[in-house]
Amino acid sequence: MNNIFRSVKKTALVLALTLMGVSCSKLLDVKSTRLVADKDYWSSVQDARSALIGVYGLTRAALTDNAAFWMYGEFRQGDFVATSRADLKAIINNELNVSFPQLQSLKNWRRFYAAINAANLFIERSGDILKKDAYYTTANHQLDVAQARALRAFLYFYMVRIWGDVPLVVASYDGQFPAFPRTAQATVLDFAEKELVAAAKDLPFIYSGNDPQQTGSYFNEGYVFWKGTLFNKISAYAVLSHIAAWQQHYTDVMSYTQFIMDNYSQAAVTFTSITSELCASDSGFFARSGPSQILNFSFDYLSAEGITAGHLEEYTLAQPITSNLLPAMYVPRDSILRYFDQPNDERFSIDLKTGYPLTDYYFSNYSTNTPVFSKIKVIEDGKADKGVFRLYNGTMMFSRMEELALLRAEAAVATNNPAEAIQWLGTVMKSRGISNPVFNGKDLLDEVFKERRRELMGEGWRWYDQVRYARLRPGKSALAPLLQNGGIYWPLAEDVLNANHLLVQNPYWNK
Amino acid sequence: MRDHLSKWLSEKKRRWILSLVATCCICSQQAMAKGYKLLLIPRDSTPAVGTDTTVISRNDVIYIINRKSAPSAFKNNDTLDVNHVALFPYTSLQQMVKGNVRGLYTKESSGEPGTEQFMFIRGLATPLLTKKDVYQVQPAVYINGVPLIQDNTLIFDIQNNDYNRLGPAFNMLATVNPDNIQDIQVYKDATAISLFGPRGANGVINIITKNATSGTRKISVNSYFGLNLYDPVYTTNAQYENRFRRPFYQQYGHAADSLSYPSYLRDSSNAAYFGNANWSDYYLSNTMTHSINASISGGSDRANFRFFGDKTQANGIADNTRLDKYTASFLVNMSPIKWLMASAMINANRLDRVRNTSMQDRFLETAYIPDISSPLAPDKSAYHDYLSAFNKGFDRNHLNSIQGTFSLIFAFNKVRYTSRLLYDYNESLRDVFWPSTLMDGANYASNYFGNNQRVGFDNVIDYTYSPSSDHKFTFEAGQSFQADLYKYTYERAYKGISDRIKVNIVNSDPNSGGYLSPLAFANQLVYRYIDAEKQRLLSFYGNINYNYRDLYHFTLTLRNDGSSLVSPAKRWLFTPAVGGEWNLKNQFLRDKYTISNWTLHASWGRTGRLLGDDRYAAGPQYKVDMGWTGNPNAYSYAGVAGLSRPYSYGWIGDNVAWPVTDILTIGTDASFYHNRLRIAVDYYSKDDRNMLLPMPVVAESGYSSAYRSGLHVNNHGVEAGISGEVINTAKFQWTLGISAAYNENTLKALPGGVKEFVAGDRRFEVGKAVDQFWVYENEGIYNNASDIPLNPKTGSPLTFKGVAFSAGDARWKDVNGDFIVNDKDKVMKGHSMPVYTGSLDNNFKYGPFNISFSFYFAGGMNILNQKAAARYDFINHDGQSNLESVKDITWWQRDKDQKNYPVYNPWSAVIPYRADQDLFLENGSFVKLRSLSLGYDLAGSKWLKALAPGITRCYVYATGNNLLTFTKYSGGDPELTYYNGYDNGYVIPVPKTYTVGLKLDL
Repeated sequence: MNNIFRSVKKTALVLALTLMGVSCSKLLDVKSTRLVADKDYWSSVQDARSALIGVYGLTRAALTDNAAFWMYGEFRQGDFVATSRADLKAIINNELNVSFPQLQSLKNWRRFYAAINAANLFIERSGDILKKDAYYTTANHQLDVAQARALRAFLYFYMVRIWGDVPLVVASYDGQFPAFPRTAQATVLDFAEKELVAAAKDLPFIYSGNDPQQTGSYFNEGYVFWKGTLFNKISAYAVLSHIAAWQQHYTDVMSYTQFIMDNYSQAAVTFTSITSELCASDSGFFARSGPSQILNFSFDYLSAEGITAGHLEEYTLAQPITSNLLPAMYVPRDSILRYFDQPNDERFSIDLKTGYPLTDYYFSNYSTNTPVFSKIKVIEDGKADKGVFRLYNGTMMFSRMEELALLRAEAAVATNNPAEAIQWLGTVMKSRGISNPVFNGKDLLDEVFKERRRELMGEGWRWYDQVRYARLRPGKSALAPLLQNGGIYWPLAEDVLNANHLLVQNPYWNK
Repeated sequence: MRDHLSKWLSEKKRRWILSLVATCCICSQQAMAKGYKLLLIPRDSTPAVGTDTTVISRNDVIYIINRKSAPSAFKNNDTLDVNHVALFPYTSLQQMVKGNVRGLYTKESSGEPGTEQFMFIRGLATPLLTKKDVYQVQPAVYINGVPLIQDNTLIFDIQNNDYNRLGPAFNMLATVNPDNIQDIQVYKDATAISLFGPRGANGVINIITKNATSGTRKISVNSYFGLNLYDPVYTTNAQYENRFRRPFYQQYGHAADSLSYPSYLRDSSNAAYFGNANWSDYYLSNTMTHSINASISGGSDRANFRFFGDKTQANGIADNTRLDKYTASFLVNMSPIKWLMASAMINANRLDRVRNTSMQDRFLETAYIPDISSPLAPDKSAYHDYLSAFNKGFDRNHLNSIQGTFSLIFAFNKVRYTSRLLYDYNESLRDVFWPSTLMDGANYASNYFGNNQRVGFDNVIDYTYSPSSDHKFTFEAGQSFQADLYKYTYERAYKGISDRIKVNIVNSDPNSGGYLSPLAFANQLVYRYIDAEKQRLLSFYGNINYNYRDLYHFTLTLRNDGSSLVSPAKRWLFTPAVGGEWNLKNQFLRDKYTISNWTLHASWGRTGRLLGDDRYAAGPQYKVDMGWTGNPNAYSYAGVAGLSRPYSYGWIGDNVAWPVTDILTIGTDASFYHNRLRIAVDYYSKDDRNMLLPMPVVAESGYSSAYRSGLHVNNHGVEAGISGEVINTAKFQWTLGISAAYNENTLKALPGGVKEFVAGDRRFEVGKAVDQFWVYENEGIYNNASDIPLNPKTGSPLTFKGVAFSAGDARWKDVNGDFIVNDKDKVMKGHSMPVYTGSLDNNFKYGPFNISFSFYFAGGMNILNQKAAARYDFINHDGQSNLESVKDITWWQRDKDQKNYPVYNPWSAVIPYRADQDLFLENGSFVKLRSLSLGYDLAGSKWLKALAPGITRCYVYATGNNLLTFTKYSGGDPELTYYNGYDNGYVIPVPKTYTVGLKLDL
């Protein structure tokens, strides 16, 4: 009896073990639901879309991490003053080698290169989808690659403004991690310019909007869905204009901006010529994604992309707009009076009859020691009852028509065309209520930059404007010495230097 | 009872006993032990193999599992004295083993009952870069052979920081109940671990519950009632804070600085801030704790059962924190035919937690920090208002957990075949609503549901073979398959329309367009998270034991493990383990009567280590990774979901292989004078190899790091125990036990042959320990500008990363003498983990009366007093809106032994009060009088026998817990630190608990 049992059991055991051995590998093949493996990617039109959106998302992440867009562009040597935070004071005073956590992160360019790597990868691999998914058309692919190239060029331009010479990496080197030294910024900008010119050829003016270069609905979504979110021809030319301006190639600026002025309406772009439309928190320029925001990285409330960290509004808003007692950054009253010296300026001016500010478009709580910069104040949907929950939704965009008009005015001055400069400068000033601007006997370039300071306050231009101004008028600018000794560039984070032995610190910060 | 005691104490012996208590506090832990049981090394004994009277048959499930108590043919485990531990009001396994097992260090880092606690066996296997890594070095816990499933680290992916985990954050090992346990063994050596497999790479804690018994029905009732007492705190108010800040303003402040002086410190007429600092009246309270449980067992030899039920309530002494535990456990054995045995176990628990109301925990949950520029006021009524705001909301935390097994054992002569189905399921829930009054106007609702489940199927065949009486073999072959699922769904919603609607209600009409859209919260302010991970582990193993005339024991285990967490190409890992024991007593010293026993043992083996995440198996991959600092969860751009390479998570290459753990153990056990003196010494060397580490890569790749294999950490040390029956007469016994463990860990290799590695505020260097702090060496203060050294080459002053030092700055040592103080001048100092741990136990027994007490010590570790750093660095915390700058109500207190620091210029850009300097690094060693118990067994007394003859045990006792702490640390209890040795001062203190209890066996 026992023997029988034993043999039956033995057989059963052997059988069971064999079966298990066979099915072992299958049992252990568990597909993760938390990621997509390399072999499963780049195979469908959805992959193309998610990868391209990934590049956009990473670009936005690079710009908004620790509010980099504003820390680099607006606050450094800017018009804002920090209430108490020592790290913000250091940025304002251009003492960038201090080691506060936020500055450590701002000195690190990794997030920019993450977006660049994603763009490189997209350019290299998205072609694979053409073979695998018939729904992914060549035209669609061409357009996607153009966007990736344009974004990459934009990122390089952005980095050159921050760090000067940066390593130019134009391939993904997926999984390899080679080290590169810094590339001369002229080479990088040259690359960026060429890439943008090439990309601009493939980019449409408008997506899902009957553009000859992009017919039908882009990724099955209509015009309303895409407006103000993707890189288009106008965006490319806006970046090109600035790349040229940064290098003082002002004749190129004139031609690039000419293209914009001739064609912007094709992209449904408009001037924001009514001040209330610029500043209205629920329906104004900064509230919703729209075509007029040129190269826009939005935090749109409707797509639930509002943020609580990394936004200008985090630093500038306080009571009466949000529940914060004091803003972290504010423009002091005497500075406001100095910058906004034009009568009837709707952005800010003192009403001569009452002695009170004419409007509160740009500044609220003007009567206190810490006026609140309220030009950009989109909390949630921006309605008046919002503010207790600090969800920041104001859009973050590279440029808009007023900015480009003023850039063109700047280029016109630089290329000895004062009449054109006055025309564009006047257009912007008049739209802000300054009915009769007078430029006689004044340095027109100063007037252009003064207007830029007023019009673009809080939009991340102040630092770059000062650099361009210093290049144009070295004698008049306090920044001029920094141009010579490299002090206009940021130091590199120690992590970055430690990881790549070919990199050297910007010598200005080696002192 | 009292009469009886007093009568008894009035006898002559009274004075003698009391004086003895006073002089040497002699104790006896074995009061309830049976007479024949030897007094063993109290914290480190060998299992009582063969004396387990609860075993009804050598074939029942408990017995089968219990075979693992001596899995490698010799004794190599540490056994917890459960009977003794069961006297104390411990609510978690960690508390039970703390200080009671050699080489096992438990960090009870909060006095809040039910919160997570961590255990470390034999040091650190891997550097702790983030809290996630702490989960990777936790030992495996088995209950009756069921490997308990623990919380996964998935949730940390969506957290801004890792102070605490989202969800109810239960200590899942709080489900373990000491009164339901027969045995707890801790395995640390390779031959034992090899029978458990890769889950046991960090050590195994094997819990065997009490078994069913046959014969007459047995009933036990255990109960205790206790009091938790708090230590008074020294509260402060705004006046104190003003006085604290004054010297800084006087010495270094500018007029502009006083403009930004915090408003709550300005108005001295504000009674809430400047009045009584009596918040502690509402914060601290002496609380009660109690537990009652009962078990019944009985049946015949062929079918028997045991049922256990428990209700325990533990209260914290602060912030009305509380844990309620309910346990029901059922075990049944049946043997319908002689060769077949069926056993089933079900173990069910329900845990409820009342959590603290601290802002740090709250804002971690909300991931949103309201305006914190003014802290809570230290005034009692203001604090009461704050607390009563919680009454309009709720914070419900529950854990349901159930484990079970069903086993069939077929026995034919010397062959047995065991087949077991096991499962472990737990679900944790947290429902939160905080009204707008607590959240700066925007109320908050969240719901968390997480569940972990494990299903396993084991088959084991074993065979005993003795060709002659000299030779004895056992063969065992087994297979086990375990499938795990970890999952959570989590939803948070901000700013509902009213504080009266406390739940995120959704549209329930499936036909409407807005189906499932929230009704009381804006859809844009509702955030939904879902994540899940599946893991599978399939193992085959074989084990041979050989015993020659009780002189030599040999054991060999070979196993093959396959895990879904390892990439398919490297999925299977073959590992061996060998061990042997040589009985010197039997070989050479048979007639030496002074030596009762002497053995030598040695073992070596390899085990795979399970990787912590399924990402590593997938190779190069794409993930949602578009977030940024403070907003890690961004997943869409323009409303479209995006994917990318895992730039922030880190690159993962192809073919990531198994990490392995090699353990070498050499040791000896000896006992003398009829086992009255016992000594056990073990040396171990544990090498954790080929582990993954996120290595820095060039930032120009876009990646924050790349995971590389090749991390190798060695832990070696000595564990020793000595115990002796100092006095052993029929009436009076005194047992003294000392156990100590020394651990030293060394980083042996980094991936790719790199020699050093920096991660955040830690640096790791090959050849040094992995738990060292990385700090600047503070050498005082620069009182005058003339004190600052000048670089003779350039004439420029010493700088801090390029910022010149000025008067009032801290003087940090410029180690490399390059006149720049930077990371290169930081030195690796101290340890965050103890180097020495151990305990000193005394048991004194006089007839039925006994006293025991136990000291617990941990030494060689340091604490970085971050709370002091934050207090002095007030300038950089006042305007910030982050968790580190949140001032909870406990901010209004000062430590008893508070240190004084130099008065630096807090505005300085060099951040003189930065935490990463040895100014704040303190000695964290401590000695604690952890437990004290005294008890009396009434069962032997005549009157009880007359009254209730069925009572076999009636033990009344009293205990004291956490009574005294001796430490040099200035910040209070040195155990209340974060996993990396930082003390941020946010946790609830551990109370002194006094209990009285009764253990009754019928």
